Amino acid sequence: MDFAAAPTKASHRTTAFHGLVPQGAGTWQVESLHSYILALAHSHFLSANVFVREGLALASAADGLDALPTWGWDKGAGSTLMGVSDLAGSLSRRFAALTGREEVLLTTLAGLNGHTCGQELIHPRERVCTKCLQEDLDRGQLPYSRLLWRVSAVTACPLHRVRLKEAACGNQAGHSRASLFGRRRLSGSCGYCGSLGFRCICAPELPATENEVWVAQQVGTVIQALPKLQQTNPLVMKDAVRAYCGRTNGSVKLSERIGVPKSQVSRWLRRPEHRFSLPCLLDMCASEGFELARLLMGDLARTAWPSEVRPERQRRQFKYHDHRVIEEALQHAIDTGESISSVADQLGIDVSTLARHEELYARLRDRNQALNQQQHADSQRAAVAEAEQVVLALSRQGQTPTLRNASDTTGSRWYPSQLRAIALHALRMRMGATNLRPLTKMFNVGPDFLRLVDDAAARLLDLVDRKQLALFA
Amino acid sequence: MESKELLTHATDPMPQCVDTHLRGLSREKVLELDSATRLRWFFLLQTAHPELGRVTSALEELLMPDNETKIVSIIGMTGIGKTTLAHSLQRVLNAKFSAQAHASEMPVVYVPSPANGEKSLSWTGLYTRILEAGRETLIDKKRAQTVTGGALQVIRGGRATLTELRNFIEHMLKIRNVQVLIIDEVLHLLRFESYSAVMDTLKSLADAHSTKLVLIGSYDIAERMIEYGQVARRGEIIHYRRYLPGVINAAKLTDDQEAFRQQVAKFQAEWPCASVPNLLNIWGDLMKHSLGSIGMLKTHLLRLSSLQMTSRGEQLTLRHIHHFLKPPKAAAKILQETLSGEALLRGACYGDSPLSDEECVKMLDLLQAA
Repeated sequence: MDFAAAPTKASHRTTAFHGLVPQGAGTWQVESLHSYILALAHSHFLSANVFVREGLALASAADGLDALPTWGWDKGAGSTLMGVSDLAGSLSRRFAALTGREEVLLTTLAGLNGHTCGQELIHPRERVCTKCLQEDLDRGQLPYSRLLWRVSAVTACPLHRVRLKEAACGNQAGHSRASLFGRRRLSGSCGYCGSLGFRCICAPELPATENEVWVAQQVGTVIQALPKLQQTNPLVMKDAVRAYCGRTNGSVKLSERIGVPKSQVSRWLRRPEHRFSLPCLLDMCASEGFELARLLMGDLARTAWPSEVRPERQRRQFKYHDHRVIEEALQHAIDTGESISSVADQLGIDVSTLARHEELYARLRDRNQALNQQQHADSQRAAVAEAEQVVLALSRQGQTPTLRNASDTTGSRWYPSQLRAIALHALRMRMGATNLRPLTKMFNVGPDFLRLVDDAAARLLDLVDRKQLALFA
Repeated sequence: MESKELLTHATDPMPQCVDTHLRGLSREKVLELDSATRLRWFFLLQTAHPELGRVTSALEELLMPDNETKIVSIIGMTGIGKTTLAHSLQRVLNAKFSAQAHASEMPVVYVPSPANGEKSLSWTGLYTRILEAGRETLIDKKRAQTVTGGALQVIRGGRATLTELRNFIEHMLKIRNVQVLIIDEVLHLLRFESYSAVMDTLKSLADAHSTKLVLIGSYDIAERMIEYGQVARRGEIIHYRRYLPGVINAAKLTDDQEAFRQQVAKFQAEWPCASVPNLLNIWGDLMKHSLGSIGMLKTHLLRLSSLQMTSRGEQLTLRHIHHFLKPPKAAAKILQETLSGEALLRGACYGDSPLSDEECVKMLDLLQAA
């Protein structure tokens, strides 16, 4: 060692955070960024919130980096940190810089930003495979949450072929206030009772279907291939699918098979910025025999999947209608007074299909409109008539015609929103009640209703005497 | 700027990037700068000399991994350059280990332990300084966690206890892969309590991750280091010696005198003023008043250069000569401590063999015989 020739440059600058390697790095079992952040906080003996909000800010400032938005980082169990969003990419790059571990970049799906959209991508709650967590403990390491388990489409563990369980604490004692003081969040352990490996979960273990295992395996291969996928141009996939449609029976048939509207498939193929969701891409693979990771790289080599593997989406049903039956139904409705929507319901078709029979549709529509107007006018007349009778009866009894008195007299509740109540209120105003204000609904009843009220008021003025009229003042 | 201000400015800690830049400048470039910067550059100047080479070789041998040495004490007289040596050691070890170390690792951690003004050792303060030196963040908010009955529990409320702080340090040493933990001015830790308890604690701390301890101090700690059993078993003392002035015979200089004289020549060659005094003409006086210590020599020359910079035309005056050397009583006190320290360390240091020279030669011959 030559101290006199000690390096003039600072040869080694240590990173701000401990250089933890994400567990399962390089494999399909890599931990999620949320899990990694919790583990990093655990390594620094800090609570996750303090670590992210204060520690990250301090470390970024010390290294001359801009502050990143961290408010709500934990929302949905950190669901914004693991998808294809800009925040996921920014945070993973920041933590990679502050820990010196490039592997952190592979703890999110940000590398698939150009291949798929964030819709239906990340599940908002933690789901775990308790067997995997137990194996972590048996290996002598802390259990951790896999990125695979946070993908919404994945509902099973491909290794143990069991369904994932929601991370819900089954330890009732763990919810008591006294034990809450001992909590610290760590991925793979219960946030309520602290049970490592979620051994507190009571839900039974359910076997996964072949389809579920297949989906998990497909997504697992994508996660493992993330380093390669990040370098791949997403347009290569679209070009390959476009060529595939050209060789087979076209994009329309493809859209039928995968259960996506043909306009969406067309838009996806034509527009570079348009992205399908991951479940949609999985349906394409299930239907056409592709491997998801290869599809994303533009390789459409087909594989014969087991028969249990099928797309999740319902295939679109294209019905062929007998229009003679529709015409007869419309004519029948005109005669009997049925509504357009009830005809559509009975035939199991859309209203727009009925409208294709323009003349009959218009006749039915006009007839129903006239009927509705007649019913409306009748109900207004009945309401005014009832109010008129109640007002006359109350005034002859020497009672003020209020809604309460009307309720008592008729034995049914009079509410201000009812037409008869509006009529009664309007009658009182017409007959000299100066302390009343118009009800809001009175402005919506229309001039015909008010004309009826005026006529009723005129009749009542002839029937009541001066003493009874004083009740309205 | 007054001479005192110049000296303060030159010796205060500066941003590392500034010092790094200054170290790389040649004398010609430095002479164009202002006086404060020139003095800072002279302060940062480090020259190799035989004693420094001997100490560094010894450190290199003792700090090799996988040997039994756990504690290395570097003891020398006041002002000889131990802290400067420690900083250089940190840079050199970092450069050596960084080739294999990951960016998150910290091969060397340097911890100063200044006097805290209290009547007893503050373990919390020491542990906190170690954590800060290890680049730990938010130390006051750390709390330890335990696993009890398969459940993760955290200790909440208040501040971390000593046990927790210790756990944090052990974890930091392990996760940062610290190879060497340097504690400077270790006297401030040992003078309060039972020093063996302090040493035991420090040693077990380092044992957590097979980290080697390097303790730096003046002769005040020599006796404690000699008597501490663990140092005897698993440690070594490196004596950072001064060059013995002796009687100067111009015709035949001793090795120490020649080495010191060459150092004076080096400092003269790097003088931070345009007008260079002929230091070689007074090298003997400089050696005598510096007690043979290169560190003290540099202290004297720093003062001389700062006085020169404050004069008109940067010319030396008689007043400067009156003021640049240490007062005689101070020098006498340092000499007294040095002599007793040297006597104490004789036969106790790395390289002090129980065999005579002849016995060593004989043993070597036997070892090399077929």
